[in-house]
Amino acid sequence: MFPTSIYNAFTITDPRWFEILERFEIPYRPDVMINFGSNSVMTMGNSEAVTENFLKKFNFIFSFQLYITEFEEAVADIILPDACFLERYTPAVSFPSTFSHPQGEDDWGWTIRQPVVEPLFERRDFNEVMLDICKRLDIHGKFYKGLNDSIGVRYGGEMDEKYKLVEDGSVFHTWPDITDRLLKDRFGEENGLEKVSKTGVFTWPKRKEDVYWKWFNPSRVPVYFEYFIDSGEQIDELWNKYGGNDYFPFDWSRFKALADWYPCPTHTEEKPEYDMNTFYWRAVMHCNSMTQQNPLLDECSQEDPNVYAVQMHSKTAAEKGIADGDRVWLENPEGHRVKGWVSLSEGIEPHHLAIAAVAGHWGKYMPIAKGKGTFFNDLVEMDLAHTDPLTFNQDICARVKIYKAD
Amino acid sequence: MKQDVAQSARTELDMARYGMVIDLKRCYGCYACSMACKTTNHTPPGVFWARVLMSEVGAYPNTVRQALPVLCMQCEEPSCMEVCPTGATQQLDNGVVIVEKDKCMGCKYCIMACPYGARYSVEEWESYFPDGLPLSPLEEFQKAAWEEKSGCGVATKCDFCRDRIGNGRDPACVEACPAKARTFGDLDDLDSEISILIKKERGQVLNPELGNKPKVHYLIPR
Repeated sequence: MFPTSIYNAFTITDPRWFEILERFEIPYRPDVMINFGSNSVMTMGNSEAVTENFLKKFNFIFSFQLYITEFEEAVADIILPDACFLERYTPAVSFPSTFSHPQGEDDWGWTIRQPVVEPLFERRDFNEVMLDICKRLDIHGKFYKGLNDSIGVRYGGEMDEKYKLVEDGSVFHTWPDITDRLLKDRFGEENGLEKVSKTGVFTWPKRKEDVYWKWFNPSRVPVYFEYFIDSGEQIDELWNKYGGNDYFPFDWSRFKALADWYPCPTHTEEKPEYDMNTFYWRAVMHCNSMTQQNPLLDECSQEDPNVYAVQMHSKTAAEKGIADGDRVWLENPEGHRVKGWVSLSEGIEPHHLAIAAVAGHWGKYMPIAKGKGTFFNDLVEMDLAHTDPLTFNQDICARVKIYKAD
Repeated sequence: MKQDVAQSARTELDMARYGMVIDLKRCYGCYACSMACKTTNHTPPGVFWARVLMSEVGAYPNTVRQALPVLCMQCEEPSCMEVCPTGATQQLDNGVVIVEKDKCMGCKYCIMACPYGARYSVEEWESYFPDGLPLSPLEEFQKAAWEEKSGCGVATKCDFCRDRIGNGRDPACVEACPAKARTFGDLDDLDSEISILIKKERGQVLNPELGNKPKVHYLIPR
């Protein structure tokens, strides 16, 4: 439906989601969700919209998780304690990611994770559990086919027949066996799990073509995206056919060949009391929402005066009667608000407020993270107005008013 | 034979006068040094042998966020050693200042005497987790390791990862720094990287007027 984007959140978090599916003659409905270590209650946007309009539509949710997070508290029917990264195999850590590769002319490295301790308590690696469940349901062959397909797509080419998982279900592959096959397929028969596990990494020389790739690739970067015009016209036709405008009145004129800039609601808000632009930044020691529960990272975060605070320019704060350390509410025009404490700064533009990381946890089983920092995502509205119609990326800034909490 | 070589290497190492250079132009305050220190030395909650002090300099829009990593300065003339009534604080031949935990009676004079705030003492290991939760398995391990090396009720401090440097490795904070802001080495060797950096980039120490002669030098942005 939306050929120029791979993700859209405003349809699935719309209260009329199922009605929209009906209108577009999509014959299936979400039924079961399997969650692997993520906390989408906190990471998508406004938590109420995500939970009520999206997650609660599933009939059954089971979740592999290290801690009981807000997600499990809100919607999980079954929680399966997952093994941590020191208790299980991960066959590909640095690939296929585009991050964390050796810089410059250093060798390439394919890193694996491997268990160095037995899983504590009764935790089990989610990979092993999934294999186990599939075996009991007698669908493990199909599961292997899915893995064969995804390995080909995600890890740089289809697997050799010799190493492919047997899809007819006549063989049961364990997770270490699958890890071994993947490594052998990529690096040769002699470089399987047994060898790579000795160092945890397989390296190979980086070629000059890899380092100075721009010189060796006669690529062209398009200035005009003509295909956007065609895409817009095609979607417009489909949209009208199904009456999409009843739900989301799109402005298809934005599908044009030349890049342009359109103001998001943060820039067009007219109510004068909403006078601050709020944005989110990444604290260097945190990743998504889960690291907030790591005691050592939390301890370091508390050393930094900005990580758990709302940073505000000193002069603006003085004008509003707000002092360093004051507890405040930040409220957006839709009435969603989050609480925080102010850290005064000269390092921020006077009309902006900055909030770090996906903090502000409230889950009662995350005692380290609970109550620290500000939950920025609750200010992120999940609707079309706050979505870029070309890429369907959500706006990650918000217009707010700020006032003392006490 | 193998033992002789190891012994000879250690003797050679012990003849060094160890110091550290921290390039403030490279440090961007990622706390990797603090994390590496905590996971190597198993310091309890609230104890940072390798600390990063964050501050802001200047007024908007010409503002700089400055990170200042601090640790025990391994002073040539350590005030902490001077006031120690039991001789628990000692200076090794290689210049590293250590605390012998079995000699320390926990009077904390050294903590008050240290002008750099680099010493800590905790009465007991308190869990990172609130509400009276029991120690986690990792905390149990950390606590045991901490008590073996340092311990509760006594003065503790950075010792330049004494065990690691004895094995020819850099201190954990140096090894972990992704920006290569830290350089560890022999100040007496004029050809060592650390000596060259101090000379070439005019390394400075914190509060030289105090006369403690720190062996941690800083390269200041100019």
